[in-house]
Amino acid sequence: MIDALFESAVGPYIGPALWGFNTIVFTYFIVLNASYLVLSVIAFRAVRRYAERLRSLDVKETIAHAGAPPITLIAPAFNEEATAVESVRSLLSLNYPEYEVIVVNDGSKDATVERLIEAFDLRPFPKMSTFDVDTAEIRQTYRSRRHPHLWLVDKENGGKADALNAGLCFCRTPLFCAMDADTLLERDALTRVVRPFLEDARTIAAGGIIRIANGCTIEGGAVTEVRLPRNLVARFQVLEYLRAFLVGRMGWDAVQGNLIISGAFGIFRRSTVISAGGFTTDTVGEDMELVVRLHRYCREREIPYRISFVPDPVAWTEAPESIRILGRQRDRWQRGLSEALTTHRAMLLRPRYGRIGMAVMPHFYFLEMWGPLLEIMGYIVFILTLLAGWTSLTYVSAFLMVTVVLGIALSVSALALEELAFRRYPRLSDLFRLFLLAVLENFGYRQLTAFWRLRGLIRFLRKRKGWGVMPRVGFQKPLGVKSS
Amino acid sequence: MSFGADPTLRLAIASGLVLTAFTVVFMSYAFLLHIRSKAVERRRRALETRWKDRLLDAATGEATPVPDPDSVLPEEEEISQGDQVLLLELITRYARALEGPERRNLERVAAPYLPALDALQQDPDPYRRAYALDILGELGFEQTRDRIVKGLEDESGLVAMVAARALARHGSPEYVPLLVRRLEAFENWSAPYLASLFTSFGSGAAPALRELAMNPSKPSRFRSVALQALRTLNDMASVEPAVRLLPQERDTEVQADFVRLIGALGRPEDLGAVRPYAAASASHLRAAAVRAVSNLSDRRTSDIELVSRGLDDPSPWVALQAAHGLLALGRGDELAALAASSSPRADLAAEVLEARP
Repeated sequence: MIDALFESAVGPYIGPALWGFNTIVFTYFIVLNASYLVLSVIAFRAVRRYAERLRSLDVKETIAHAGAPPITLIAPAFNEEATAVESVRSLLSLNYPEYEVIVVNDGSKDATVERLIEAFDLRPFPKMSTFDVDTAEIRQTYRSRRHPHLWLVDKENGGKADALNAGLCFCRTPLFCAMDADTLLERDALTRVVRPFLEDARTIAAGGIIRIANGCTIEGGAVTEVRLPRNLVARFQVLEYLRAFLVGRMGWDAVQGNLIISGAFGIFRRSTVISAGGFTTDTVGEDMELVVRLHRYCREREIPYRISFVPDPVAWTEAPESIRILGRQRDRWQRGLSEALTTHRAMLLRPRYGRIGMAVMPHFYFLEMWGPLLEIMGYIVFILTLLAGWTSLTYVSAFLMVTVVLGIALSVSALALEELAFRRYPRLSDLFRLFLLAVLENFGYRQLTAFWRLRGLIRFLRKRKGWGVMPRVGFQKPLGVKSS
Repeated sequence: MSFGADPTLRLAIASGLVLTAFTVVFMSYAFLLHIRSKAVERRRRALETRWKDRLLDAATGEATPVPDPDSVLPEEEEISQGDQVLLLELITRYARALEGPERRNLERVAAPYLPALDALQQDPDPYRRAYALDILGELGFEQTRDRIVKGLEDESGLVAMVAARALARHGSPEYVPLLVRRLEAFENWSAPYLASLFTSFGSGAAPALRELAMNPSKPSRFRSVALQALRTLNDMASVEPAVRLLPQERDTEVQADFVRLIGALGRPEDLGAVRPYAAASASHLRAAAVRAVSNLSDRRTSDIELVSRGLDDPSPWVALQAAHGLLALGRGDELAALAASSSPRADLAAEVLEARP
């Protein structure tokens, strides 16, 4: 009786509602993947051109003989006692004519400061701030006796953006590099990443590629042998990073539409960042927010500018190896993305902001920000539709097949790009493993990341802040395979 | 539902098949690239091993004091066109690390192989042209000077820059006027980079740079570049025209570069030209002026007062220059008093005193 009543009252509406929802999901799927495919094609051309360009001008020779702009590396550190000394040592051995390192201790509760003071013979040294911005209280500035270009700013905890602002206060060079204290920069990373600033005076920011250090051999603060991580969770991330950087960033860069420069390694023009107000402290995605704000700032003032992605300067980072921590990281990334896009939604579909407002922001806002909601609901409604018998198994299977094959195609195209220009994984077996991962990630991992991103979106909508904890193993200990 | 009748299903299956084909193509491509790159790398390494010792012996004169290319790399080795480019690339790498006779020895060894770059130099791709020109500039400058100079006229700014760098490396200031005429090709390059390019031509570049810097009809960006280069070249002859032209200049960037030049190379009599800019509205101009005054001053009270006022300037950059200036003017005691006070500039004074050698 109830069934009959339900059938007569609701039944006539369910079919069209489901049809409507499935159409939205299907459209989202088509538009999202079409844009990824277009990006792949653009990235393919851009990587080829870049490889040719690299041959045409010897970067090291250029830097050695011509006014390389001085750079300050700002490395915020929070509870990094396991990695801080090793990371700073690696920063001090970069091949670049003129640079300073400012480590900002963001109120660590462990022995980060003590380790650094002891390892580098730091002593209190006054330094005037040149940027008028509110930060958590700065307790002391230190300078190394042994390495006069190494500084430590010890401050109360205020978050990563606050620490970056504190670093900016003491930065005196025209360019600065925002990075994580646990990131390992390759020796010539600065030489390579600074190239857009030399070749185009309009450049205000440039980012390099982030690669995963888990599984690699690290000696003296440098990656000496590149291997895939043993841990499956980290291994999936290798593929994701290749896709994100070589297809995503490279593709967007080719159309001057990059909205993200990774917080782990990005170079910025100090004066522009300061004029735009520095880093925003009330977001967990300060890296993306800054880049979107720089676009907005320059376009509103009609300042000619360029924001570039350079694929060969490498920063190595430690990827989470547990599902729980990876989930937290992805949740935070999604919140950061949502915050940045919502803060600057005034740019959305406004011709005043050019291609950023008309193409890039809509892509990120509608597809990347709200995408996880549609993706997860799509999975649920598809299953319900199937269980209720409103569609055939054949239809669902065909759709899933297309989804999976498309996912594989995109990942494989990223691997092709890697092989085309960079070839960091020298073993054929590694390439095969990555191919295999490109298939496997579609069965569980992809759905899991969609779930974490949805969780991040929901938390953003509920205005929840916070970074969560990301424990570090430390580069001096084995990261999966072996280490020195 | 009939499998073949539903157009949506047919579309899904067709898309799946197309994408599968794409995936297989991409996979094969990546796989083949991997194999090919490994083979190329192996071959490159093998060739390098074969050539390395002979090239280094030739460079140091170990084999013969003046190496004969035929004896270094005998003809019977039949180096293919592609390998010749590889060989040149390798020699370029070694040559960049060498100077004097060693370098000239390598240039001699490279000479017979330079024609291998002819095709690349005509390539429609500017990157390839730049690559060829870069090697020519490094190993065959004397023989191919005309081609390198012609490179300045290339439609690609990158090729023109590679040509300019080759000319600068060989210290050929006679080409600076030509380079100045082609500056619009380097419109986007950073100013310090361009200034450093001109500086590497040496003092012979100064007359052309002076002409550019003192010509108000030229773009101010390039005039700034020229002024920066003249300052690095310690070109005393540019001070007098700078002092003369500064009051008529309206662009603040050029004004600041004039002030910096006068401050670095001028004499106490030039102080009058720079003093008014300590009250300019642009902070970078005030900073340049405060520094210039402290450099040029013969420690008269009015100058010390002017520099001292800079400490209270709202711009930290002006204050920084003022603090360094006071120290240079022998007013360390004033800074020490400031450092001990509760002034917002106490940190600055302490910093400058602490950094004192």
